[in-house]
Amino acid sequence: MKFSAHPAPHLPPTRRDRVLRVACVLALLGLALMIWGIFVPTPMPILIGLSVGQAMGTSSFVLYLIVLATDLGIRKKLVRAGRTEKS
Amino acid sequence: MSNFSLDEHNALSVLAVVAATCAALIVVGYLVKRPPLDAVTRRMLFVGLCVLPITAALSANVQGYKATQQRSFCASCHVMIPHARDAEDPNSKSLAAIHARNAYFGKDNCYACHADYGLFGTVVTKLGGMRHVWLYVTQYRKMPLAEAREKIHLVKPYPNENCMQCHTATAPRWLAIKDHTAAREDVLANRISCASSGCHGWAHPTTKGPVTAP
Repeated sequence: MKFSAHPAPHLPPTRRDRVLRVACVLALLGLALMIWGIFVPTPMPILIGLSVGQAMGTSSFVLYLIVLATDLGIRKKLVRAGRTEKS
Repeated sequence: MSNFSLDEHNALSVLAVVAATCAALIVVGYLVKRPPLDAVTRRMLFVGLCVLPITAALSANVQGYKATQQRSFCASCHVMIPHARDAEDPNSKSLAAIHARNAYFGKDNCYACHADYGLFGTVVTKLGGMRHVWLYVTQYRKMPLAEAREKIHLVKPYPNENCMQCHTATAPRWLAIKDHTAAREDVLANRISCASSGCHGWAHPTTKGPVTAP
């Protein structure tokens, strides 16, 4: 994967790439589990979809946000803003 | 597919499946093409990992909740099959079967009669349902029906309040029946069950015996 446009300031591209790939796989698994209960409306598919499926979907979004925040240098900006306020 | 029609019963299912499919396409597209993480890719991933999955999750939640109210859901556990079979029998005179023939809630008759009412009724009912699932998975999953019939009982007596959500006990027509007025205090105090052999008969005769009333 090439990230020439916005090189990550904190995560090296390979690590960021891996995290995003994990997020994508988690999202696919989570979506499959969430939809399982619609096609098989019995207790286990619905329970697993509502718990494990949604946990996976949420985790994937959190991983994406972590990559995004790191990629945009949001943490650095926030720290800088905090220091400016204190001074 | 010729019988398929988009209505309020399956619109959420369709929405969930469409949202999940679109999200999956975006995510798979990213995994296969591996484009640079520029602004366009970030936005696409935001849609594929956030907007569409949340849409799919919310609609699947509501659809799942609705599915848990249906008799077919209850009957998916083998110990409930005799109850569901009796409810679906057009010749049955049990209370469950009579209510299953209701045009408004017939398909959801288990939930309609067994759901707790009140402010936290839905939450209490769903917690009770979770208990049922737990007991089924841990104790009753492999239990033969004959044994289940002997061992599985309601955790507490069926409250008459559930009947009175639809059948008022204050209307003149109800009070005009002598048995009702004679037993009114006992009925209100749950000392006599509406669904008993001396009154309107068992709701589920498969666990009790033949229907004797009304």
